[in-house]
This record gives sequence, structure tokens and C-alpha cells, in this order.
Amino acid sequence: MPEDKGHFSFSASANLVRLIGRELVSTDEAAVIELVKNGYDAGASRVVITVQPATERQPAYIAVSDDGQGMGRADFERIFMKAGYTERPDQTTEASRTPTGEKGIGRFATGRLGRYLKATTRVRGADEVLAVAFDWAEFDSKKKNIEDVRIPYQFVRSALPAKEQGGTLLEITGLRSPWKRDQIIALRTALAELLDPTQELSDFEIQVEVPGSSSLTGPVHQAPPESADLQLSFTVLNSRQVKRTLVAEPGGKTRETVESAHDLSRIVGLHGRFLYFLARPVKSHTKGLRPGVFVYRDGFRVEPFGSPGADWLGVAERRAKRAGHAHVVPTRLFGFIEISRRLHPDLQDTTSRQALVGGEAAKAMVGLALEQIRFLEDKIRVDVAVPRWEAHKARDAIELERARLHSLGMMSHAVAHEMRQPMQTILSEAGNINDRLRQMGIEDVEIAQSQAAIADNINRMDDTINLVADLARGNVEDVSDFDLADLVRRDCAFFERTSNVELRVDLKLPGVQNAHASRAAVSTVLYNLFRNAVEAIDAATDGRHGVITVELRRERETHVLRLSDNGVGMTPQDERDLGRKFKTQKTGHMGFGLYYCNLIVKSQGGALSHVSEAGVGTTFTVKFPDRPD
Amino acid sequence: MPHHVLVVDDEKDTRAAWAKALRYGGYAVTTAGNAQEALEACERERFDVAILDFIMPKTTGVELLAAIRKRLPLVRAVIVSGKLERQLSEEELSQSLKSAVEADSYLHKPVSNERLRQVVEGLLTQAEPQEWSDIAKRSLDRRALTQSTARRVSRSLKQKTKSKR
Repeated sequence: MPEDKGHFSFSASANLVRLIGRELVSTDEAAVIELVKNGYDAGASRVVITVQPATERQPAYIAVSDDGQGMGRADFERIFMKAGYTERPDQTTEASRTPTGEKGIGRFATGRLGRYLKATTRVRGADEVLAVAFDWAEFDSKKKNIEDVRIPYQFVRSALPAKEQGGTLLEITGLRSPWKRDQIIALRTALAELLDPTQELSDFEIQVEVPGSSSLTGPVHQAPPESADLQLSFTVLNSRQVKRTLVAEPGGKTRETVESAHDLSRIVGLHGRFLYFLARPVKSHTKGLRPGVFVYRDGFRVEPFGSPGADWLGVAERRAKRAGHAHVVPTRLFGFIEISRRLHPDLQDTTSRQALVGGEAAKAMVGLALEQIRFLEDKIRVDVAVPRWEAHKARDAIELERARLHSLGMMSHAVAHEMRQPMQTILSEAGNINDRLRQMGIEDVEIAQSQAAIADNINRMDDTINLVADLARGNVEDVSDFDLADLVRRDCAFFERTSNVELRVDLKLPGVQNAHASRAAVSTVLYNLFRNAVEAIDAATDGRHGVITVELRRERETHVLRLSDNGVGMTPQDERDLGRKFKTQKTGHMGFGLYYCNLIVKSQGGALSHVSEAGVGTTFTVKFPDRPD
Repeated sequence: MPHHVLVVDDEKDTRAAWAKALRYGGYAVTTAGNAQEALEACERERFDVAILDFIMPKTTGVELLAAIRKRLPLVRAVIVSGKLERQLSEEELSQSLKSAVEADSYLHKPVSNERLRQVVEGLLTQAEPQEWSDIAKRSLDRRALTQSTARRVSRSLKQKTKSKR
């Protein structure tokens, strides 16, 4: 049996061109972008996209012209006519640019835009231009082989592209979209995002021209966002290390080199910049850029990173799942990751241009970006979220306390009225008894003493009602002029009477100390510190005689109130717990506690400190300014 | 003839106790438990001093004082309350009530009998204040002047006129 062997080779159906051009390029805008990239790769300094929307008189028309190196017949055949071919970076080492195209399919994108393509190209200085006419419909046949479709060309004399400059002009007609205003705006947006705003190319610009519309005509430019609160930049130094710089307002600039958990060997040199706004940024700061983390290769955007819906770092997803815990809000994050085709050859686009080819390099890039986001999150949490949360908590606590005091105030108001009526009657009638007895000629020392005792006790009840009303009046923000020494004296006398613990109160007060402050705040804090002291004395089991010393003095514009006790004092552990108490919602008697004391003192612009020794006693010092406002 | 004091308080025990205390002080006292009773009393009788509780059902001592003044423009008035803010002293409240409704004095409850009688006595014997002339001017067209107060007003006016010359 004769041996039948040889080899097969692929041949391609003409329809493959249709598949590449129309199916792989996702949108019309993406197709134009492919042509812009081709212009860049051809060394152009300027690419002009002319879009003529369809009118009743003429059909829509798109032209993309560049002032790049242009092509002669041989170049055209080698570069343009060979599907899937592109000049690799190593083949273009002499060029100053790294080519953006890597698949060699961009030219087929014109087939997505319209049926006809007329390519006109001139090598700089050449007398004639090469004009090539494509009818993409000829590739629709599945039976025809790709090489069987004849593309006619001729050299002609033409003004464009300019002789002294050279370049390529692609004119597309038979457009598949009408190219109305909205689509042109979308094109401008896509083009604006095409170039890395943080790494502006000095030698390349894109211009859109729309005949008849000055608002849509003009250079396309995307400025980077401004005034971000946190600006993080990072560069991969080697397989493990990342150099990181954070500029935070406030906080200044910090530089560090950190270890990554990922193998970064394939993405050495990768550079990124994350800009984060602590509040929703205004348009004048974002420069119209959409939030997201964009990836740019050699200055050109890699789709779909940064596109709405492309939550490739899971920022939005994490935010949604852990609302309140993940502190990076996706709409406030603007990220720019720069990769290079030369340095990071493993970071390749998929043919559909809708992702990077998965692999170690892509994984490392995602991992690295996530590490940076986590770092930002930590920063935001520590510097912003926690202080803000603490401030909210403090404000909530004061609000809560104010509400409680308000209720107590209303109640004490009613109680005051109800109590004072019978007190008035008792006081008056006691006086009347005395008067009557005197009228009857009875003057008795004991009766007079009884009457005096009744009067004293009525006054004491009245003082108590007043004090409760003062405490309950509650609004620690109401400041007034009063004698602070007198207030401390009266309050301490009351606290002493009501303490139920045997103790002595030593007052070291000036005769008068005028203050402009909140009576409610002073009384509340004093009450709580007094209660603390009484508890500390009560807790001592060695039978010591309790002494509470209250000192008041003035240091320039600051009132200094010091309350010391000889109670059990605090162990270092107690003091640490006290610190925690300051931070918890623990409420003590009457709903205050030291936590509120601290808040109230702070609300008055003051500070609360303490010194304590186990077994010896504790001293609390309150300092607050005379005019908290 | 003793000075006549009107005591208005919705608390029966309080007004009874005050009436007794004032009578022991030598005053003639009429009591009223509410505004209507007080105004009826003012139709019947003349008073030198009115002691008015600040908080009463349906009205306040200040409103009642304004109504009483229409009948007795020159009656001296003391407002008493167990409820008003203690942050303000009696003096401060007296001043603000004086400028607002021409009340002459303010007292916080509870008030001792001695203090009550002292304030009433003070109002009756105090040197005629400068404001008397103003009050008199405003009140001359009113007919309900007591004889004694009318005499005082005219004397005060005469003195003023002399000093102007």
C-alpha cells in the first residue's frame, strides 16, 4: 500500500476578516481608538478624526488622518495587508515609541465602522500617494479564501497627506451607525480616557473635527484630577518590594519601601497612582474624569479597566458587602496603573481587547493593586473614619445626654412647682403659728427654734430643687456669667450632704471667681468627680477617714478645678480601664459617668486629666477656658 | 385705715397662709383663687398692693396684672412664683417685669412671712419713684384712682413742674 503522507496547512476564509473586525472590536468608539493607536504606532504627532454625521444630503463619513511615517507599497503589503501581524517591540528598537498594537488587527476595525475604506498613505517626501480601496462586503463570503479578495491600489497625485510631512489618511464610508451627537460625545469621552492623564504625552495629540459643530470640534485632552485628599503612588522595585509615597492632607508626605505578598517579578517597573477624595469630589476637581482604576500601557488605556461596571479590584463589591467597614468608596477613587509593553510583555490584552490575558503577571498586578487599596483603606480608617466615628459618637452622646437632661429639666420644672407650693404653705404657716403665739403673749425659745428649723429645712429643700434644676437645665452649651467659686461651694455642700458616706470636704476656693462658662457643665462634671471620689473612699476598707479636697484657681484665662480624694486609688490596670471607660458608652449614676465628663469638658474646650496611686488616692484636674466660645 | 392687699393664688392653703401672715402684719386682706375672682374683687374694692402667683390655671399673674391695671392703674404689684428660672435673681426678674408690665417686685417661692411683709411694706412706704409721673400721665384719664394714690400722683406732678421752672 503506497504511503500517503504530506502536510496540511490552514487557509483562511475571507469571512475571518469580518469576524476580526466586526465581532472582536466591541464598539464603534473602540474601533476608532484602534485606528488612533495605529497612527501613534506610525510615529504620528497628531491624529485628526473627522466625523461627518449623516445628513439628508450626504451620508455619514469618518476620516482618521495621521502625520506618521506613511507607507510605501512594500510597507503596506508587509504591515497592513498581513492579518495578525504587527511590528514587535524588538523589531522597532530604533523607534522612540513602544508600539501600542500587539495583535495586528486594528486595521480591520474599520470594517466595523463602515463598508468602504479608502486608505491613502504617503511616505514623507514621496511625490505620489498610495491609494487603496477596500470593500469589506467582499469578505462576507465564507466560501472565498482571504487571499482571493482583490484589493485594488494605485499611486496617484494628491494633496493629502502632505508631501513634506507624509502620513496616512483612512476614509470610511458606508457607515453602519448614523454618528449622531451622542455618539460623537461618547467617542470624545473614550478618546479622552485613551491617554493616561497623569502621564501626558508631549509628542502626541488627538483632535476631533466635526464639520458644523464648534463644541464637538477640538483637541481631546484629559487633565488629571486635582486636590485629592490622599495621593498614593507606588512603583514595583523588584520581585518583592514596592516603593510607596503617600501625600495626605493633612499628614504630609510619607515614603516607604514595603514588601508585597505577591511575586512581582513579572511586573517590575509597574507604576501606579491612586487619588482618593474623602468626600464626593466636585467636577472641577475630577476634570470630568470618571472614577475607577484605569490601566494604561505605554500611555494608552487598556480596556476595560476603569470602565463603569468593570469593578476589577472588587472595590464596589466590598463596599456593598461591608458597608461601613470598607472605607474606600468607589466613586471617590481614581486610579492610574501604568504598564509597559516592553517591560511587561506578559501583560497582554486578550484579542477581544476586553481584558488582560490571565496569568502570573496579571495576577500580580491585581494583587499589588489590592494591597495598595487595602493600605489606603487602613489610612482612611485610622486617619479619617475612626476620628470621624469618634466625633460622631461624641456628638451623639452629647445629643443623647442633652435629650435626657431636657426631659429631666422638664420634669424638675414641674417637680419644682409642685414641691414649692406645699413648702410655701409649711413655711408660711410655721411663721403664722409663731406670730399667733406672740400675739397671745407666748414667747418660747423652743417654739422659735422649731420655727427656725422648719425655715432652714424648707430653704435646704429649695436649694436641692434649684440644684437639680441647674443640673437638669442641661444645655452645656449655654454659657453665662456667674461666680464659679460660689457654684462650687454650693454644689459641694449639697454633694456632701447627699453622699451617705462619712467624709470631710476641704474647700480651697477663692472668695469669688467670676466665670463666663456653662453652669450645667461645671455642675455636671463636679458632681461626677465627686461621686467618683465618694465611691473610692467608700471602697477603702481600712477604716480611714475620707477626705475630699476641692481646689479652684484661675490661671490667666483658664479655670482650674482640682478634686482629690484619699480613697483606694487606681492600679495601673484600673487606669487603663479608665481610659477604656472614656471610650465606652458606660454610664454611671444619673446617666453621666466619666465618659460624659470627658465629653463635656472637651465640649467646653477644656481637658480632664488624673493622677492616681493605688491605695493612696486620686486627683482629677479639670481645666477649661473662661470663654469657651 | 389699714392698707388693703389682694392675694391671688390658686393654692388655697398658700393664699390662706399668706392672708393670715399679712393680717398679723396689720393689713386688710382679700384673697382670690383665680383671675375672675380677682377682677370681681377689683370691681368691688380698692387695693394698694396685689400679690399675684405667676402660674395660675388659664392665665398668668402678668396677664392678670394687666387686667387689674385697667381697673386699678396704680396698684402696686408683686409677682410670686415657684416655677420661674432660678438662674435669674429676684432683682433681675423684678427689673424685667417692671419694664414689661410695671410689676413692682418679684419674689421666688418659698418666701418667708417676714420677707413678704417687708416687701409689701417697702412698696407702700418707698419714696415716690421718678416713674410715678409717667404712670400718672398714662393714668390721668382713668377714673379709678384711689384717693391716697391720686394725692401722691398730684403731689409728684407738682414737684416735677416746680423743678422744671
